[in-house]
Amino acid sequence: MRTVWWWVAVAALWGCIACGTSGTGEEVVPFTLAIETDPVGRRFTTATGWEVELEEAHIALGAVTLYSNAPPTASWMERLRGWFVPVAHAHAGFDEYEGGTVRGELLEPVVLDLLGEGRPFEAALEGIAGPVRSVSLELRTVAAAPLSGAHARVRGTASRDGEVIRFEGGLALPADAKSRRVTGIPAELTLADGAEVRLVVHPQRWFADADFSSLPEAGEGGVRPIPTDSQVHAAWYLGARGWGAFTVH
Amino acid sequence: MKSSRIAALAMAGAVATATIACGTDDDGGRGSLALTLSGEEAAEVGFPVPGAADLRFADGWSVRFDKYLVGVGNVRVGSTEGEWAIRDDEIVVADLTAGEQPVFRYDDLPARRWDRFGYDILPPTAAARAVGSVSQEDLQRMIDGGFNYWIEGTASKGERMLSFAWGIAAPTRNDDCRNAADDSPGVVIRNNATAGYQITLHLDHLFYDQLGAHDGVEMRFDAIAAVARDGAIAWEDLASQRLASLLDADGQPLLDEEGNRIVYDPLNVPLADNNLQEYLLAASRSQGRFNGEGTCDNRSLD
Repeated sequence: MRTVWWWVAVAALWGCIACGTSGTGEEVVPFTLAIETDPVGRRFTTATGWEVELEEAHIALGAVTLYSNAPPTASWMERLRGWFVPVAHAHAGFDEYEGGTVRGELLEPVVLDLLGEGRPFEAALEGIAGPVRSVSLELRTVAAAPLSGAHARVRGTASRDGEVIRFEGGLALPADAKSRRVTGIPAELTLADGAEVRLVVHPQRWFADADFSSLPEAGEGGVRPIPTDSQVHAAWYLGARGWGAFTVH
Repeated sequence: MKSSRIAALAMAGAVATATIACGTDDDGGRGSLALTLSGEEAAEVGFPVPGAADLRFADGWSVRFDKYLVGVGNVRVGSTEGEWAIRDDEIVVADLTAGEQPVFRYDDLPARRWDRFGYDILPPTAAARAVGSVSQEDLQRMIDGGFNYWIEGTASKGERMLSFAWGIAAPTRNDDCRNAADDSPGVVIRNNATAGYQITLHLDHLFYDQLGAHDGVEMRFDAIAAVARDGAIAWEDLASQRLASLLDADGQPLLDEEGNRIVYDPLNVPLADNNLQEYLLAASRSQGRFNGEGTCDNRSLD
């Protein structure tokens, strides 16, 4: 009988080790969330042939959430593994996407100077240890300068075939939450003690399909505005939230 | 002799593995699974669907389908423990305009809840089975073109009438489907009974102006109709519509009912190119459901 209790004790100890110190079986770990700017994002050529140089680029992000579920772009191995390893049941894919278990999150909005010196943002956070397969975030708006009520703001120059256009404007997203969220950014990370999660912003994606020649005539100072009903704003609306606007490393 | 023993051990291991994998636990008895395929009322009557306020085009178009052929197969029924009841590589092609039709039946299955159900929407192979009224000519067209959908129909708005005949190649895996009735995962096989489930396709998703969402989206057709030539909308011509610069038939920016620029929004779904054809390819992947409104995780098979 004593032997049985000894094995029960061993099993219980093993269970504690396997599950970590959390009463829920989840291990809380410290990690660093860093937000960076793709160096290419300062000067780039768009799919429409414009050479763009940004002089200013600000954006406000909030509710950056690290999830356990892979987005629909998951690799074949990921899909295969899904059929052999139990996973949290959540709805994912080209239909509505849900990320599953939250591993970590940044709740407060941060205004990022994407072209400033050094990393625009870095914070020490705590999360739940385990695989991170996707990240979702929200584009926020801040009333104060430099965003002044916009979700992002840029100033720069676009050149094509000898035409040089100076532009400046803000990105205004609709009020509905889904238009402000970027969901299912692919990630292949494991959140562990001391891990660093790098969220990279790619401003070169913002104007991939923009036609700067369609902007209205310049006002004082020779700078053309980006009206919310313009083609450039529509391209920015898609590009700032679309595939490739953010990556996770 | 030694090699014989190894072979025998290997055989025993294989049998044991197969036994575990196939799930021979007969404690709960055995039963059958019958699967039907449906595009719901929209496949039969088109859009708008009478009495359904959300199944109408915001821009006033009406669409009727003459054919809505789909290739469905690779049915998978298993458990999160790794057991399999069904892994069937058969592909069928059915016409959703013919209404709900039986497509697969599986007998002698262990009676229990199998909490993982999945299927693929994929192009037929030469071995594919045509269901109901699907002609050999249509089946061969889908095989040759690598199409998992073949859609023919007409769209009308006022005096304007347009035809379309589109082959869509966007094979999609639908996994971990949940029963719309109670949001439970997979299927339940009951002893001495046939469990009936429906593979459901939501045709309205193809026309949504935003991917990956349902709330606040609109069904639209103006951008599609704008590329029509000689009364027909060619699939290839949809690539000429840029998502950030949708134009009407006169080449002017396409505006909504309130005069705002219409933008089809793929959100974070990756497209090979930001044009309307690629958008519709991605939208077509979101049609797979289970037992009506039951959701599946859908992923590209490309």
